[in-house]
Amino acid sequence: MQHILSRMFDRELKKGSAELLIMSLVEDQPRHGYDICKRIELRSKGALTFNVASLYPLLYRLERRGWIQGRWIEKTGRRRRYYRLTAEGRKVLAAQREGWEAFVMAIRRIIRKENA
Amino acid sequence: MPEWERQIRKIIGRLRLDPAQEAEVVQELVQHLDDRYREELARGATHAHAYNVALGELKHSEAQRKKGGNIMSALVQDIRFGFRLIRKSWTFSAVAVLTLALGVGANGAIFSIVNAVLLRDLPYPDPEKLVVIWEARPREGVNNNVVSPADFTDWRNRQQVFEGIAAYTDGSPLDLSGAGEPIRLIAGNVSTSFFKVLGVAPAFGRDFAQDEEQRGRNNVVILNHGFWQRQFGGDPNIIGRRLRLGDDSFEVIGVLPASFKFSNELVDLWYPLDFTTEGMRARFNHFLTVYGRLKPGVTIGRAQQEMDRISAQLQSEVELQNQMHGASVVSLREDLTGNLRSQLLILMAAVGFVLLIACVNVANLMLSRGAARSRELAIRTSLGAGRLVIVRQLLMECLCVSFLGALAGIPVAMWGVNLLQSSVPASIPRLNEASLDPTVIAYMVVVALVTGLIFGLAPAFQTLRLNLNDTLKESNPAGGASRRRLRSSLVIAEIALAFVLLIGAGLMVRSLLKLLSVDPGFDARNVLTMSLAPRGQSTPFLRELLEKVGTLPGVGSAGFTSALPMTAQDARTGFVVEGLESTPNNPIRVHPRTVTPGYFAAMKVRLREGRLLSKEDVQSGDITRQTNPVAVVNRTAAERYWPGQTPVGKYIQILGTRREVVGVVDDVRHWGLATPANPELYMPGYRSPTNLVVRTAQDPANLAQPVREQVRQLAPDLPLAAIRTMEEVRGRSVASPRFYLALLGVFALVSLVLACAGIYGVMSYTVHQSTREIGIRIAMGARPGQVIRQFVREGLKLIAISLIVGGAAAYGLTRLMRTLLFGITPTDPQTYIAIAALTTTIALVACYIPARRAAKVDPLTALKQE
Repeated sequence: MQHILSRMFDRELKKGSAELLIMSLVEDQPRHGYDICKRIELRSKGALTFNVASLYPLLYRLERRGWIQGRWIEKTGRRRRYYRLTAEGRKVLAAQREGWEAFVMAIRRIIRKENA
Repeated sequence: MPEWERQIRKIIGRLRLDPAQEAEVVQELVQHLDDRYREELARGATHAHAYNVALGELKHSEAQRKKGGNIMSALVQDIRFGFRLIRKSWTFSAVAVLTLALGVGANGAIFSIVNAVLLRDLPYPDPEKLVVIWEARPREGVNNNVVSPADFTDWRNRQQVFEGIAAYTDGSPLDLSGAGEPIRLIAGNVSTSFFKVLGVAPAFGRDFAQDEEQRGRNNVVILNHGFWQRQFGGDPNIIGRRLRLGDDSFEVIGVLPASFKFSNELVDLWYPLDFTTEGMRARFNHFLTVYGRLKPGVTIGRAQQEMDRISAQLQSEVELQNQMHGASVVSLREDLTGNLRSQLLILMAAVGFVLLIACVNVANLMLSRGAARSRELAIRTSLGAGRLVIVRQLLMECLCVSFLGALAGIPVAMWGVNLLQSSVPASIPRLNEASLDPTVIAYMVVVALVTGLIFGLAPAFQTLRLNLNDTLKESNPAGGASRRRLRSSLVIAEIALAFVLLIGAGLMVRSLLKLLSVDPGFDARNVLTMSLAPRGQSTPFLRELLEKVGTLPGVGSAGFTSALPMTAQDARTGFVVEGLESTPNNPIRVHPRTVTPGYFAAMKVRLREGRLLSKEDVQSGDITRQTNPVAVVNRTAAERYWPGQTPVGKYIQILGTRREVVGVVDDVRHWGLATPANPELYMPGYRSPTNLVVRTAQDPANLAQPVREQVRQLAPDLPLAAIRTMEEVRGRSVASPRFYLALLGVFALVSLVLACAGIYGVMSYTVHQSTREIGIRIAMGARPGQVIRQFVREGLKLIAISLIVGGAAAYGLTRLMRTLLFGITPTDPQTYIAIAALTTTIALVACYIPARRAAKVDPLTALKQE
C-alpha cells in the first residue's frame, strides 16, 4: 500500500509542483543538483524521488526563465554548479507557494470527514 | 572513481553540442553521478552495484513516461503543457493567435457566404428535384431564354416526367390604393401550380385553384409574409379582404409562411397569370420563367430527353415561330449559382492564401521561439525522451495556439459576415442567409486544426533535426544556417503568395478603372430620375407634369423615357428596314424607347447626324394623328442596318407605323458599362409606365421634394418609385466589380503586411545572428553603407525569388479571374510590372530597417558578446 501511494504521489505531485519544490529548496541558500535531489527524497521520506533525467531538464528550464541561476563554485576540492533563487524567482515562488497552500486548504476542506 | 564522462558523452554526444556547453553539462552530470556512487558505497554496496545504480540515473523518467500510461492521458498532458506554455510567453502567443484569428476569421466569413449561396439546400422540400426549364436557341448561342406562354402550355400538357411545371414572371408594378398612403407594389405573376411545384403551402388561407388562370377568376392574391406584416400589421382577418390594385379589385386568399423565399425578393404579393388573353396564346412573346419538379426516380438527363422530344414535336407543328427552338433543363441550384460559383471560389482561394501567409508567419514565430527552447528539448532528448514524444508535444502546442486562433476568429468572422452583407451587391442570391451556423463553425475548427499542423510540423522537425547544435552556438556566425534557410524559404513563400493576391487586386483595379472610363453615352452628373405609372389617359397628365417640372427653379431640361439606361428596363421587337431583308441568321431587331424631346438634353445624349426629336414630333402624342411619324436611331443601329450610308431620310416600319429616320445619336450603354450597345430606336411620345429624367444646375437630390410636390398636386394618388440620381443608377451597375475589388484588395493588403512582417523578422534575425561578423567588418574598416548593402542585397535575393515564384503562380491562377475582368487580360503585363515594383519597394523597406540597425553595431560590444 505504501508503495502504491508513494508512486501515485510521485507521479501526481511531481507534475504540478516540482518547480515549487526546487525553488523552495534553493530559497535560503544555493544548492547543487545532487543536494536538491537528496533533500527532496529525505524530506518527503522517500515518497518523492528525482534523478538526473528528471531533475536537470527542470533546473535548466527554471534557469532559462530566470527564476534560478547556476554558478560554478569550488568547495572542498570539488567544482559544482550551485543554483540560487533570483529576485524574479523569489516573486514566482511566493506566488506559487500561496497558490499551493490555497489548493491544499481547498482539498482538505473537501476530503475532511463530514461527521465532525 | 568510475569514468562517467564517457557514458554521459555517449548519450549527449549524439547532439553535437557546442563544445563549451557540452563540457558544462557533462561536468555537472559527472558530479551528480559521483555523489550518487559515493553514497551507495557508503551504504555498503559493492562497486558494481553502486556503479549500476548511479548509471541508472541517466535513463529513467523520460523512458518510463514514454512506456507508461495510455496515449490519451499523455495527450491530455501535452495539451495542458501547451496551454501552460502559451500563458508563459504571452506576447508571442498573442501575436500568433491574432494572426491566426485574422486568417481563420476571414476564411470563416467567406465560407459562410459560400455555404449559404453554393452549399446550403434551397429553402424548399426535396430541393434536388427542382429544375428550371429554359428555351434554348443553340443557333443564337442562347440556352436560357424565357419561355413563351403558348410553349409553356404545350410543355405542361405533353410532359410526363415532372410532377408539375409552373411559370413565373415579374408582374408590372401595381399601385395599391385605398389602404393608407398609396404605394407601388411588386407582384409576381404565376401559373396556379407555382407553389405546389416549389412545395410550399400558404401559412393560412388557401393556395390558387387550377381554374383561376383566366380573366375574371384570377383576381385573387396570396401575400408574402413580410408584406402582410408591413402593410397590414399581420392582421389575422386579412383572408377575404379585397384590395384595390391598379384598376382592379383583388381578394386576399392566403398568406405565405415567413420561411418562404424566392429569388426575386422584391415580390410583395402573387396572383395567377391569365392564360385566356390573346397575348398568352402567342409564341412570339417570351417572358416566362418555368420551374419543374421531377417525378421520383427521374434524372435531369431523362427530363432533358423528354423536353427534347416535345420541342421536336413543336418544331414540326409550329414551323415559323419554333424554328430551332429547344428546351434546356437545369437544376434550380445550378441556375441560381452558375455564374457565382467561379467568383466565390476565387474569393475562397484568395482568403485561403491569406490563411497560408498567416500560417507561414506563425511558423516563423515558432521557429524563432524554438531556438530559445532547444536547450530544454535537447536535454530531454539526450536523456531518453523519444523523438515522437517531443514531436507530439510540439504539435500539441501548435494545435493549442490554433485552437485559440479559431476561437478568436469567430468574432472576426461574425464581423466579416455583417460587413459583407451590408456591402454586397444585390446580384448575389441568398446572401442574406449567410451566418455562422454549425457547418461554418465546424469548417473553421477544421481549418484551424489543419493550420496548426501546417505551421507546427516544419518547426517541430526542424527543432528535432538541429537540436542544440545551432542554437547553442548563437555566437557562432556559421550557426543557424539551416534554420535560416528554412525561414528564408518560408518568407519566399509568403511574399510569393502576397504577390499573387496583389496581382489579383491590381487586375481588379485596372479593370474597374477601365470600366469607369467607359463613356456611357450620357452624362450622369446632376440628373434626377424617378419612375411613375399613371393609369388611364396618361398623356395629358404627363405633358402637364413635364411643363410644371420644367419651370421649377434650377431645372435645365426634363424629359420622359420608357426605358432608363442601366435599370434592366428594356423591350425588343422585330422591325422592317425598308430595302433590307431579314433572315433567321440576321434578324432585324431593335430595342424601342418612347421618349420626349427633352430626354436627350436631360441626359446629354449626343447627336451624331440629322436632328433630334422636336416638340412638333410629339404634338398630339397620338401616333395615328401625326402627319409624318419620325424616329431617331442609335449609332449601332445605323451601322448595322444602314452600313456605309446614312439612315437619315430612310424609312422603317415598326409596330405598324411607317417612320422616317431623322437623326442618329451616340450609343448609350443601356445594359451596363461592360456591355456593348445593341440597336436602339427612339420614338417621340408619352407612354406609361415611364421615367422622368431631370437635369438640374444644383445637387439633384434637392429637387426630389419639389418634383414630388408637383406630382401630388396633379395626381394625389399616384405613387413615385425609384427616386434616384442618375449617378446612383450608374454606381449600381459597377457595384459588383467594386465589391470583388474591395475584398481582393483587403486580402491583398493584409497579406502584404503579414509578408513584410515575415521578411522583417527574418532580416532582423539574420542581423542579430551576424552581430559579431558585422562587428569585425566594421572594426576592419567597413563603412556602414557597405554593411547595409550586404543585407539589402540578401533581402533582394529573397524578394527576387519570391517574385519569380509568385509571378508564375499568378500567371496560372489569374486566368480563373477572366469572368471578373473587363478590358484587360488576366496576364496584363502592366499590372504585373507595377505590382512587382510595389512589392519590391515595400519588401525592401522591411529589409532596410534591420540592415540600418546592423550598420550601427558597435564593434566593441559585438565582439564582447562572444
